[in-house]
Amino acid sequence: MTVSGGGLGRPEAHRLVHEPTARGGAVATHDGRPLLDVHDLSVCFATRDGDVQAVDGVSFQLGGGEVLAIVGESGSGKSVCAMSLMGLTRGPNATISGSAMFEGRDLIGATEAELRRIRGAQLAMVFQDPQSSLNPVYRVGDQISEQIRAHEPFVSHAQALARAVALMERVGIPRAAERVRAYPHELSGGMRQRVMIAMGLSLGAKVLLADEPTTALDVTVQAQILEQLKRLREQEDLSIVLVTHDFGVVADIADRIAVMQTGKIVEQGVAAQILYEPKHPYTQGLLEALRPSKKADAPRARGGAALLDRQADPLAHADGARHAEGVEVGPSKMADAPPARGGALLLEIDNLRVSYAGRSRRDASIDALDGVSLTLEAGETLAIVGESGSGKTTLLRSIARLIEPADGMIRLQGQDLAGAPRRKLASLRRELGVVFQDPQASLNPRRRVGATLERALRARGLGKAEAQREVGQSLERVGLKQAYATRYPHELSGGERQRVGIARALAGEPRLVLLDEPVSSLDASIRRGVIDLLGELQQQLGCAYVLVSHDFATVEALADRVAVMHVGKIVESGAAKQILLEPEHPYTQELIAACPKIPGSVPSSVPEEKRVPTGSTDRRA
Amino acid sequence: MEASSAPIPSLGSGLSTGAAGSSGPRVSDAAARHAWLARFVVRRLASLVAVLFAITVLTFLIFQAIPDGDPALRMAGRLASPQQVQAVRVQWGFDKPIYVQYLKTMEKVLDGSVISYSQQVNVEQEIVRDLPPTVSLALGAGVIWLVFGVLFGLLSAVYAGRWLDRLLSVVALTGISMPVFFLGAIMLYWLGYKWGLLPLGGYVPLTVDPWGWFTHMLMPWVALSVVSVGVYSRVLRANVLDVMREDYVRTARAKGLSERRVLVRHVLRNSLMGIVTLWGLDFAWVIGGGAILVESVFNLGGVGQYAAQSIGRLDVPPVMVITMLVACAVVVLSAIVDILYAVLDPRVRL
Repeated sequence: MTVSGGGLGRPEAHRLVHEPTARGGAVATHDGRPLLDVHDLSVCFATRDGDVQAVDGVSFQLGGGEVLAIVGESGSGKSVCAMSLMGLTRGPNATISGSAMFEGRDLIGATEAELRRIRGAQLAMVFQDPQSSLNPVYRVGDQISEQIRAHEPFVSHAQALARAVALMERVGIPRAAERVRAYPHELSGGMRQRVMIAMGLSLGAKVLLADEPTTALDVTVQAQILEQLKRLREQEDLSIVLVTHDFGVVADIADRIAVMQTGKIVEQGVAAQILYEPKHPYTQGLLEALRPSKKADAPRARGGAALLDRQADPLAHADGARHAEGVEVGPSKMADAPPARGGALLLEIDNLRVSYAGRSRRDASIDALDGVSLTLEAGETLAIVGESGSGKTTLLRSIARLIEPADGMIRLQGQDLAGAPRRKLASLRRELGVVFQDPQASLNPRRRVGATLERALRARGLGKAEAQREVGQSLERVGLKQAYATRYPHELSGGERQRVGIARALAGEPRLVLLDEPVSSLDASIRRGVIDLLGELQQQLGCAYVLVSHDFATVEALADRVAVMHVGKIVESGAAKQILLEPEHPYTQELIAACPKIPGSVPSSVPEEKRVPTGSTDRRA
Repeated sequence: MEASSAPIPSLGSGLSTGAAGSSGPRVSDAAARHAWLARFVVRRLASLVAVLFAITVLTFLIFQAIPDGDPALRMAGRLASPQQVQAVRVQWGFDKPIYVQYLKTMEKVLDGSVISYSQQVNVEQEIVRDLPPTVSLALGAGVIWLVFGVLFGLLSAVYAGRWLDRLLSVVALTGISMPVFFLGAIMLYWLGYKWGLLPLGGYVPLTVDPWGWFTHMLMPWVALSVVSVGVYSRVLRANVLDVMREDYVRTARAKGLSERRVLVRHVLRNSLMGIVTLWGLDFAWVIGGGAILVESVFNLGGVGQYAAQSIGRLDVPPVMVITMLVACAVVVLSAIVDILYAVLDPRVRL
């Protein structure tokens, strides 16, 4: 049985799929045909710079009640692939060929009118960012009702709304009768994504195309949404095509996995086979990138941050050598290094408070930071973790005094930052470097890389000629060629741009570098390189890092100490190893448990019954 | 040109976009909403008083600074002796300090007894007499430029890059570049004089002869709208193209909605914000006599024409009152625009 892969009996199926497995039969529905049969799908966009082959001869099949994950990095064509099935990529500049048979009709060849009847009704899609995917000016109930009435014109608005309430209850939205009248901005991210799912299911769609449905959400919310999708698949026999870049998300839910690279499916098969016996080097590389970049001693492999369990991985030994190599290149610092190294006290924060004004005068103000205290020694790395809204970014920004603290003290090398007059800030900030989350947005697009760095170097007090000489050096320091100085940011890849961002932050030879989610906008395969670079630079320059991240793999790779934030407070802090392996606070435990990972690596140190919801207002979202 | 040459203050400054995010559902009960509205109205009234004070002081000072601007000289007549001039000066209070003159003038403006220097008639009665043509002009032209601006802008955006878009772009740019006095003169010559299709200017009250009112207003409406239709269609085209790239438009298509419904309910509605702002300001500008050129070319006898004549005579009281009218119109219209904003976008809070 050739299974799981592309078309049964089609030649490319043999090429793509190597091993027969027991689950392969899941492809076919009871009448023997797959629900969705995509054959040789190609999508080509004509752009000013020539044709771009976004999807290149993709074939896959989906059976009833099956979950197929399409995994790939940005630009691999996975989203275009899903959107083409819905006809959303059609346009004067797109050439789409191949076929996608769904319920006896070809989605690719269908006319716009035929397609309109299918989409939303039998084939539904959920998108990455639920905030931008819902129209901000209409109530969510009206948006669901609109879809119902578009396909069933004789249903009254009131009837459609009643169905919307039932749908919202079905996807786990509490108090649905009330929330049906809410606007999207009045709901949390998780609730919004549930609304999107409810909308998708409103006409009994058999197939749900989910394009990165949890990428924009917090880890705990992500876990809940994935759980919801699993439940719908089990209880209602829903078939799901899950498009994602994250193997951790896939592992838990997918029956089969297709891996895409530059428009092609390079490997597809049953989930366990792809996860544990990847054949294609690209797949191997992607999975490799998930492994922690540090020497994985036995206890850590069990830890929450270890994304792959050695015991569950048949290739663990084969991998071991390569993995060790990676470590030689990377930073050799270990998370279990003693937190106090006897270094000089660099940063001291005491009882810091930041509050934002409420919406009106009657509303109480919101405490973004509620009495945060911490210290940092020279050359040390402190990671601040927490979900969105926990105040971690606010804390980072207050250290640079980009936000005015309401109360409390910030001392950098003994000098008061919180109370310093504005005109002194420039000189105090010279001791600080900041690396921002999105290098694309934080580099001036109209300025050559060299000019950006030159300006940063001159801020340190170098003369023009001297600064220009230094530019090359600072590029080489971050692993870029000197010739990059004449390039513009858009001529660089995401990873290269972030390296420029790091070079800029380090140009002033700061004692303290603030890292705001430095790798979260980067693809998994290049994350590792940037993390390693940050480690090396710290060794060379002896600067201290304050790292804000929601990704435990990054934290584990870089941090000496970890502080966990929750609604404006630090709920737990300590040595990285201690926090990651033996979290004490229930919130930390929940955070670590919610981290998507490949099965077998659920932290054994967290007993099921201890994962209690904490005081957050939106636990269930 | 005048409709679009008005400086556009940033209306958005008084607004805030509700923090999107994890905050719980907002309680939007009627009582709270009324309280907001009441606070909003009070705030705007306070700002109206401040604006009126500032603008009247400024106008008054400008006339003090104009060379050869002494009203007594003009009022006493060309052959007046210095004694006669002095007598006028004392009689009208021009010998008092500026602030006393200002306060006296304002007092008269507020109790409605202010009279013009040149003709010595009650200014406010003049303006009330001149308002109907101006309001007629503003209403008709406002509807025309809104409807056609939106229509052309939407068509332009939907057919972006194709021949219809190019054609509309050329038409819009021609309209924007066309001086009103030139267009008005051409229309009067051909439509009014040569072909005799429409009357040659003047104003007929709506209550007296509705058809006459309509035919008299048609040319001024078109002449005033042409520029705005061009500007609005360009602005809307850009907004629509931006909104079309939004994720929720993709969602709307994925729901299986018809293209027309996607366009009207999801794209157009979210593209109207910029247009609403522009429209409120332009409308206020015309109400306040801003369409001086159109009113003069077609001899409508509106507020704008009165303003033009008064400025020519360096007649302070009418100019003061008309300036206050403009200020009131702008403040009131921008309050209405802000309310419209909140209606159009529930995230906006007053």
